[in-house]
Amino acid sequence: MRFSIYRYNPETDAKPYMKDYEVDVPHDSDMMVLQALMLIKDQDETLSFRASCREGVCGSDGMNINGLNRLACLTPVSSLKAPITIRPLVNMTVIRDLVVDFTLFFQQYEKVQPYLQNHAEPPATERLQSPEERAALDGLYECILCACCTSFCPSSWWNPEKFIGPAGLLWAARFLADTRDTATEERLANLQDPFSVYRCRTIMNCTVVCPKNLNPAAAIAGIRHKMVEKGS
Amino acid sequence: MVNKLTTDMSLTGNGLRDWIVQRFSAVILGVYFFVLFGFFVFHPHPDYLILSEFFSVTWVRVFSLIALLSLFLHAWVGVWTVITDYVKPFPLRFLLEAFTILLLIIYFFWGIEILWRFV
Amino acid sequence: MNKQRFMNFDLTTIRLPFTSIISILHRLSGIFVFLLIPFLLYIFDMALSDSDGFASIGAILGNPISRISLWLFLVALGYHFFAGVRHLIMDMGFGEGLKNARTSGAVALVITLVWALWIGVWLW
Repeated sequence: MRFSIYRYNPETDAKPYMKDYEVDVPHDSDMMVLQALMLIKDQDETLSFRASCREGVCGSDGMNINGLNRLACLTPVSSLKAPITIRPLVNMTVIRDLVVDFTLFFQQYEKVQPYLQNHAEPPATERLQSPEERAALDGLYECILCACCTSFCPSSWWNPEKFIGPAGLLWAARFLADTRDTATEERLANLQDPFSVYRCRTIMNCTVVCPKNLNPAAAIAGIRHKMVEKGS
Repeated sequence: MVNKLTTDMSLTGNGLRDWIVQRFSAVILGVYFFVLFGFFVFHPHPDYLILSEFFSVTWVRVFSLIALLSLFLHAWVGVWTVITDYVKPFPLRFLLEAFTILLLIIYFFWGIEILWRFV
Repeated sequence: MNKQRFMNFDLTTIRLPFTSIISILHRLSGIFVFLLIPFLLYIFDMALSDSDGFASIGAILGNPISRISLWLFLVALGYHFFAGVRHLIMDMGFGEGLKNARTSGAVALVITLVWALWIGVWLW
């Protein structure tokens, strides 16, 4: 099976180019794209990509495969049409080949203060939640920060610095939904400008590509609802 | 979280408020066009008399005025968003925004002139 | 060492999901309607000036380009309206899942198609 892979090495290349590789994929193979990349790396050890857990938990191997951002480790080769085109995540600075710079992505993540804030005296054991309160976090806390969504969001393409992007906003929603967190008002006030949240046009590219099947678009809608409630 | 200067040309300078204004004006415009649609369903090919009679009814005229105002607000929020998405050089962006607002003001008063000339 | 920085940003290599097409059409239809407002105001101005002005609309719309423009305006307005209703429904918390968003987008497209035909029959 033919793979066409985006290559760029700043040490040697003037600009990025696509390079083709052949990989033997048995007819009924359950090979994932990540395994295919490893086989390609056996052929050509200069190929660079990130990977770690190889089971969709670490979020290292997000890349654009046949036009959609996805995790290489969770994408079966058999689900794709040949030739398989693999490019780095969209609209992120390429460090080398499929490895991209996450600096801005993590800056956006830090903006939403992705940690529990509660200045009340801690109880002797834990801050307890009812099962219902805990259930409110489902669909929000599972994000692995792979950047598939933010890198595929048109609003992030046009305003990468001002719009926080679906991943960061999903995390904002996660702490807004947490009954143990007491910084709700400050969090909402920090997000009220016309860009941070409101650049979202509910295009839903984030939801389409999320490898964990989360719905950042709905989470962002939830943030807007909370703002309307608090603001009125 | 975002530099204030970059947001001052938005309608209210506040994302939540812009968003609410956009939704409210959308509902008003939606209902207005539904009323116009209804008129044309009943009078698919109106003559001058029927049309001018319809637009001389007070509530139609007041509703048209509210719709004009809604159009002004709705288009400002929408076009501002589009411009700030695609036009990055400051002078051009600023000029386009100012031009849009000027156009919307002209449309607004043009609309009033159309509606109120045959009192 | 090449100091130039590159990004993978080539829209021709990106698969646009259906919901993003619904969204960009919403934007394009909005811009189109905005740009054609003067044309519509002009027609209304004529229609409501006096019976001579009203009669001149027939002449204006006798020109195929202006008739097609009016049709396109109304189609774009219709789409902007239907896709806008979809957004308002989602804002109220209904149909925010991907499957429903795709369905509602398709519904908006189909209704617009019917609307376009209906308007076409009315105008011609």
